[in-house]
Amino acid sequence: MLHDLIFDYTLRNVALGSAILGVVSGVLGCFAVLRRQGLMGDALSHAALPGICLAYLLTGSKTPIVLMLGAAVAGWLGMVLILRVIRHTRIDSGSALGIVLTVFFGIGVVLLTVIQKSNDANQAGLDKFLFGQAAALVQEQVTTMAVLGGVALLVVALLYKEFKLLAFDPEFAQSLDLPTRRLDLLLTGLLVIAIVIGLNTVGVVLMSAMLVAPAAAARQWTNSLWRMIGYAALFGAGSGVAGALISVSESRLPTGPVIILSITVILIVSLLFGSARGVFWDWLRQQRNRRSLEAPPNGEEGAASGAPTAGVPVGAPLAAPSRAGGSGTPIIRGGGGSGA
Amino acid sequence: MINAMEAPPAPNNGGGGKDRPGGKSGPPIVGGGGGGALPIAVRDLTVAYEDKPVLWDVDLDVPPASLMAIIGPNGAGKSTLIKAILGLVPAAAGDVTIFGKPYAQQRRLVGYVPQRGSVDWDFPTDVLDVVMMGLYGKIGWLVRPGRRERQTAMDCLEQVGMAAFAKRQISQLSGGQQQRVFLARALAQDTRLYLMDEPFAGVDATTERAIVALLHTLRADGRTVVVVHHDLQTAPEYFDHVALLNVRLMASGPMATTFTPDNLQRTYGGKIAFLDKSPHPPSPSPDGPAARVGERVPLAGSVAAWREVGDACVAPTAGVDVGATHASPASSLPSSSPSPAAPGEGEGG
Amino acid sequence: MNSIQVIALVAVLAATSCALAGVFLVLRRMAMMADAISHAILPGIVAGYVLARGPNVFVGFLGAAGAGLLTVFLVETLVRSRRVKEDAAIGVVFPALFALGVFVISKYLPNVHIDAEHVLMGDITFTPFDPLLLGGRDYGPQALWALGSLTLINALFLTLFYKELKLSTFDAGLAAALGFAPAALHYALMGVVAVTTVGALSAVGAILVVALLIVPPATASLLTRRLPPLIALSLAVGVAGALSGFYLATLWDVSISGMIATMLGVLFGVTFLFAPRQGLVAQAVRRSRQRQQFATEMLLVHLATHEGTDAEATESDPAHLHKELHWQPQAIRDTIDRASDEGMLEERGGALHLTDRGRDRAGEVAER
Repeated sequence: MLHDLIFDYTLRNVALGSAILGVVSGVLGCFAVLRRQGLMGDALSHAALPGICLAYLLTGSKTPIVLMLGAAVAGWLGMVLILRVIRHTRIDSGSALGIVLTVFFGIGVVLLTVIQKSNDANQAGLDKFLFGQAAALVQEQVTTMAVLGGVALLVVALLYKEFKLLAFDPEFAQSLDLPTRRLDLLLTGLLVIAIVIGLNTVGVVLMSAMLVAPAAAARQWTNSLWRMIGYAALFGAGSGVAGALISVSESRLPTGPVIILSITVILIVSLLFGSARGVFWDWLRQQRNRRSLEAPPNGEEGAASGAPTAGVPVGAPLAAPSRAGGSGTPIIRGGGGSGA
Repeated sequence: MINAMEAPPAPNNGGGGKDRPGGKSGPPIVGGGGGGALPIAVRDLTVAYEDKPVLWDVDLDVPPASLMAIIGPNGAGKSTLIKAILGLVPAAAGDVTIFGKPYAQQRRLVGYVPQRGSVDWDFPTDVLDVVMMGLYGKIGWLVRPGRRERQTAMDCLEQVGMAAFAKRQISQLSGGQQQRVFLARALAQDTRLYLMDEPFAGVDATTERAIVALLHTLRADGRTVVVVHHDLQTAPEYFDHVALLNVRLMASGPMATTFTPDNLQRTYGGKIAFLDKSPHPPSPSPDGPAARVGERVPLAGSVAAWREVGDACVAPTAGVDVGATHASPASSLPSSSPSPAAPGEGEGG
Repeated sequence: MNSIQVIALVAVLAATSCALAGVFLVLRRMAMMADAISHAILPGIVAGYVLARGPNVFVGFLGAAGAGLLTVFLVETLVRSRRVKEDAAIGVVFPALFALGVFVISKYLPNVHIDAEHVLMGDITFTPFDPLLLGGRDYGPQALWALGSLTLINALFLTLFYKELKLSTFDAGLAAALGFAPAALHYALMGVVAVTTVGALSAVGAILVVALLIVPPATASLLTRRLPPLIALSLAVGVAGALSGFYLATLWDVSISGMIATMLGVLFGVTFLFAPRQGLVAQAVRRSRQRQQFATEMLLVHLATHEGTDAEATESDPAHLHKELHWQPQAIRDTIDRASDEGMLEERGGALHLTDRGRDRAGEVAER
């Protein structure tokens, strides 16, 4: 297996490409998840379709870098539109994402039919775009992915401190005279790079999991941002290589979905057993507490001062958590936000 | 939250002229003192969301080395005023100068303590790291904070009594501890002017005392602090200046001359009512807030009896407050804050 | 009915059923849940296929709707565990389910024709040729029946639970206190969304379903803030998008689903720019008018303050205003012109004089 991984041309490309994607999307996914932009990946990957089609229609070339550039421009445009709609209207972020996602994708589908009509033999391959084509990665693509991903990671490394503050407390960042709007655009721009890399490998539909799952899994193992980023990169790369190996060893399996299933398994294990926040450990603690309740209580009070995000209140209303994220009520917006 | 109706009361309450500290008729004090430009001078500031003015034509001078409370009912634009001074919300008209110059040139001179509820406390970071964020403006681009920054941050944590929590994950802090971390971060900024957005909201009594002590230390250093404050009872005790705000600036100036029943009535409109002091049970503690107020502030007798009615922003009565203090050990007061309204103030929104 | 009319009618019915289901979805800020549900349908169809040991419309429908609800349930479970925030939960659940669907198809059902691409894209062009056959009788195109009844069901749902939905959307706490069981209502709404998605899916595809669910209510919310007109406008936008998209698609011979989504985007974009109150243009106009009005009032108050004093001559000199008010000369000029147009002041001998009207206005401003 190891021998194949190094010497088999196809396998090496697939594994390397998936690993690069895993690292880049793992790292950028951390920021996306912490800034509650977990669905941005889904929206932007769909929004890339018209860019790819236009790039092909305009240049007639299927060179990866040209198509990626088209995807990046369209993704970027989609992102700007989403931010505009959120800023200037009462429309919530979810709806704004949904609008851009579906409309851009619709435009892409229209352009695709135009392409299919103009040269029926050589269609750009919607299914490849939808589900990725990791198995067909060539060295040229892998190199492009590596360069783009390397640039993105370098920027994150250089601006780590600023990005962290932006993610944690953007208003404070602004009060420190940091150019928050530009940093915001830059960070989301890097997200676009990760997505463009991902389109080659796992495709549009599954891209959002590639960003969200490694970060969400990593969060369960640590309470420090840079360790979280490290774990996420590791999980992303691991699931990429695992997906590549499994799918190549079983000829019928498509690579993208296998990668996503691998990272999903990692996420489930992390949610249950993650050393920092695993649900299992909470459960264990509760069991122990219940037992100690029967004995006379003599625990130190200071230690109890803040059980880390302990269990969910039992009687919590079911529908509430999903909506609690937004501030105030939808149309008739309460005073909540502007406060005082 | 019941404040869905955010519309401010009609601005013109029939009250006579408005009390403007450095009003348009007189020459502004700014030019007067040569190097001693005012920490904050707000001129004709108007902020509007859509059609609704949130702040209308506000003129405010904050004298040097003062502790100023910004007080007003919910939806009065208190937070907006602070954010407009900081340039975080765009002004429709007017301008703000910090020590005589536009804010954009003076950002380094202003420290900011946002509302506690404005960030996600589940963020993967520890206390020390949050405090070090206050130094990011000085460290500059591309540079990582090092040992010296860590030491500075530790010193600041020491000042708010949180040094033992330096390595604590921030999600494990109580509300009061979170607030103190934010204060330490502002201290790390080491600025001559501080703007604080409701630092007393939903904190335990220990933290409240720690904050007050800190405010006085800052003032003794010659720094200026402007605080959005909700509690009419403690205001005269904690602060020496006050700005009464309700979309328009109703009055501003030294506490003793400005914090009058008449001005409060105009600020709160019909939402304030006179309550007789007698219904409250006698304070169980000799130095309960009522007593403290009585000692220091001449107006206290009448002011302490003024309570806002039908609104959530007044601290509990003296008895409850003191009782809570005695009931719970110092640092472990997560959200068992005495005021029933306070947790909502902190986390909601 | 010829096939063109059938397709147009199918598109219109898809638009109406989706708009009705989408209004509260958007108001409750759960738009992306629709996206998640629409993708999760693939494994549902697969599960239905496996359970029924072959293609079976009814079981497939149940499986798909069940998978939609499973998505909602999984997302809520993750959110309630407090380990994952809602956006991340949605972003991970539906790709996982979708990947599972593709995995099962490729590994265990290699010879079965479940086309994932078809699930996403749909194919409205073939709907006229897919009749509903009951007991050997042809009752006309299946999609018409499905979408027609969905429109009726959704309209009924909205009518019956209008007050409960409204209350639980705007004040979940109060709704629970009044015994309206917001959780049950929430799942009922999600069920309606899931069933609508499944029903419309085979006709128009997942992406267009999501577009029809989200874009019309979002567009309508830019135009009104009251619920009944919001529902009516959502329907209007949905139908307009469907018909114009269908027309242009046949004209240019491109994808109908894609063109309808595009036209919905155009309608949204136009509204975003030109909505009478919330549109970008209206916002810009309002801001500039506010600024102008404020400048005028400031000038009037300034003049009124110095009226009758010794400094009146210098203070009312336009050149002096530049220094006093920190305004650009052009801005001062414009403000003076505007104020004299409104009859607030007169310019005589290089100085500005308030008219009676201007003086009154300045008094009003100072009183405010």
